[in-house]
Amino acid sequence: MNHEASVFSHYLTKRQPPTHAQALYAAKVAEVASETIPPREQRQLSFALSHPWCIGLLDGGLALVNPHAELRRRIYIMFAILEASNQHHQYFLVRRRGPFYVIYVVFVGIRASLKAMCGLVLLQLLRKRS
Amino acid sequence: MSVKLFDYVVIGSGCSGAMAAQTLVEAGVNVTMIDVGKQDTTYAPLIPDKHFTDIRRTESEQYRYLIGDELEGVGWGGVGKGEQITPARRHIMQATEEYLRIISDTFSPLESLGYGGLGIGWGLQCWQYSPADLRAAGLPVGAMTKAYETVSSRIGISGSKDDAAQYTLGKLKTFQPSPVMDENHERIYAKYARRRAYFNARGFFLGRTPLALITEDFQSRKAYAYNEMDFYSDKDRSAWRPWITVDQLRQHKNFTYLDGHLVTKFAEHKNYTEIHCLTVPDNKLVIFHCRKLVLASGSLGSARIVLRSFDNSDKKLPLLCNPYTYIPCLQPAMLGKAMGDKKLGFAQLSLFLDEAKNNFGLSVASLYDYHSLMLFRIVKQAPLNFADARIVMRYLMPALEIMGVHHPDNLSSDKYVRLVADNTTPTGDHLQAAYSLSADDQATYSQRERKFIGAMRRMGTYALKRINPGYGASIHYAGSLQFGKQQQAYSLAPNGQLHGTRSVFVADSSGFNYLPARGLTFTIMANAHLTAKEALRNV
Repeated sequence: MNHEASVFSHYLTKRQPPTHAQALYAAKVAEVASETIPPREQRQLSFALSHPWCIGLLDGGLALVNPHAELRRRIYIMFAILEASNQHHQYFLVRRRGPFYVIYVVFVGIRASLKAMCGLVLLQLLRKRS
Repeated sequence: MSVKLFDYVVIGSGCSGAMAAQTLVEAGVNVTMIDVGKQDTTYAPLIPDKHFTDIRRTESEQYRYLIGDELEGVGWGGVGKGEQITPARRHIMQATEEYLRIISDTFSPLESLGYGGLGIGWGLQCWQYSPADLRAAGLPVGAMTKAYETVSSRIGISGSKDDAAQYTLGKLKTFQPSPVMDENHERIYAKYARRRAYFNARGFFLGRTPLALITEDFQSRKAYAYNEMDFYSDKDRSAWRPWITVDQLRQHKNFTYLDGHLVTKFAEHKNYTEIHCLTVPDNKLVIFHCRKLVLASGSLGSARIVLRSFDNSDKKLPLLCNPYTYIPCLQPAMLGKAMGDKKLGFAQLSLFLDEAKNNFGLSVASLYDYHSLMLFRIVKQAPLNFADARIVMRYLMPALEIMGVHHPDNLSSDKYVRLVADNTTPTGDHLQAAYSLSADDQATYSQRERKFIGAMRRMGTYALKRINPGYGASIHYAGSLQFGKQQQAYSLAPNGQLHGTRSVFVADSSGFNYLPARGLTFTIMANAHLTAKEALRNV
């Protein structure tokens, strides 16, 4: 579970999670683990954890077709934990931005759209493989 | 076994219970408040008296009260009840699924067994009902005008005599200045002021929202410090909560607070009224006697008690609830700006749509920002991967504006509650509810929401989407035991006395025959004060 927490923390902030985050994450995931996860979502989760490079693609694709998928839930849990950490506040607190920052945000939006499209293809491949 | 005999008993410690009890205590009679009284003892002591941003930067244990030890503040469901409630306020809902179970496909209310009731998480909006609203609700206009003043002098209200004062403060004289408006809302207000005639001609009126929030020291409470911890802590007690009043009453010799008891029903006898309670959490039956009983358990809570007491399982009681939609909006002029020091989590502006210009039947939008509820709560709404959504939403956050639109509600046979036997609950029953709006009402309210969106666009703020959290999400409930002059069962006399009883009064919103869009809490408190006075008079 610590590996999983590290993978998602790195995906969100490119940093390792603080120590308390791993314990919190593990406890929350253990709590939700009692719920039945559809096999397809379990496969997506396993694939993402064994191929961390594709998390952004799967996450983006799922955001369009199945926003409440288990993979997204786990990333979301880590998102909330990191946001409530003083060691990661710089990734979440609002900062003043110059007028050209909007160009970067538009770039991020376009990048997210491309990731989503690639993610949709990857999700199809995963479905066929199973 | 001897049963304790009380003089006046008030059921519930919410806004109406606190006000009714204060009126009774000040009159010098002996008052006992019976309440379940769940409290947060876990998080409140941990929250430092610091600004939200300082906490985020420095406090290593912030996760405990921001998201919860068990991440109970991190919801993954929809947008329904309790979704935005932070860990430090989640005791508002504690044990309600067990003791106040309500089953419905169409209606999802929030009730409370907390110390302070729903007032624990109240948005503090203190709008006065207009005379036309009061008449339609069955409340006396002259007496209520005075009662509003009394409540304001007790709890401390801030407001402004501005363009919308006729809709917000009415004739209220006792109030403090509004809190400082942040840049987001200043810009909106400036755009409105520049085209005031245009907006007014179309029925729109914009003004500061009156709040039960003090901006100057008041009694033993400190002025609002702009710490932006409104969703987490009441440390400085600048925001009025019912428990503040109950805490003060507990210093009086003629007031007793009895927690851990859920009142289930009453039975009148010749010289006293018998009150049946369940102890919480061990579910033992306890009986008390009293001379006068004042129910202040909220419209749904009082409905339960009265239905059980009259033992009529077939009876359907009416239900009123403001339909509610919230609309996240974006003000592009604020993109990239830093968050100012003086932010406020409560509503800062109220926009009224009164096309008939008669101060009746209107809809109202509350405008507030979202900063201190953190990114994670909104990021899941974006159709983006979380890593990129973090960057985008962080940039959008200063420009994000939430518009919560409330509509009025009228009686109809499609809205009701009734009690159903259920041996899986400690009380042996649950409430069944049904709620639906007519097609005409739905079309009217949808059209009004489009008009609100259009007006906001002209104020430089653009709607992103309309979110309907479902019926019951407004947390404004009323009408289960309506006011009526005729001696009908399950209704209230104009003075709040339950018809068919000698000594039972209802001090919450159960009697309202109509529910204006303006939030009802200030009116509930004023009515509770009047009902308590009537209970004193009726010997």
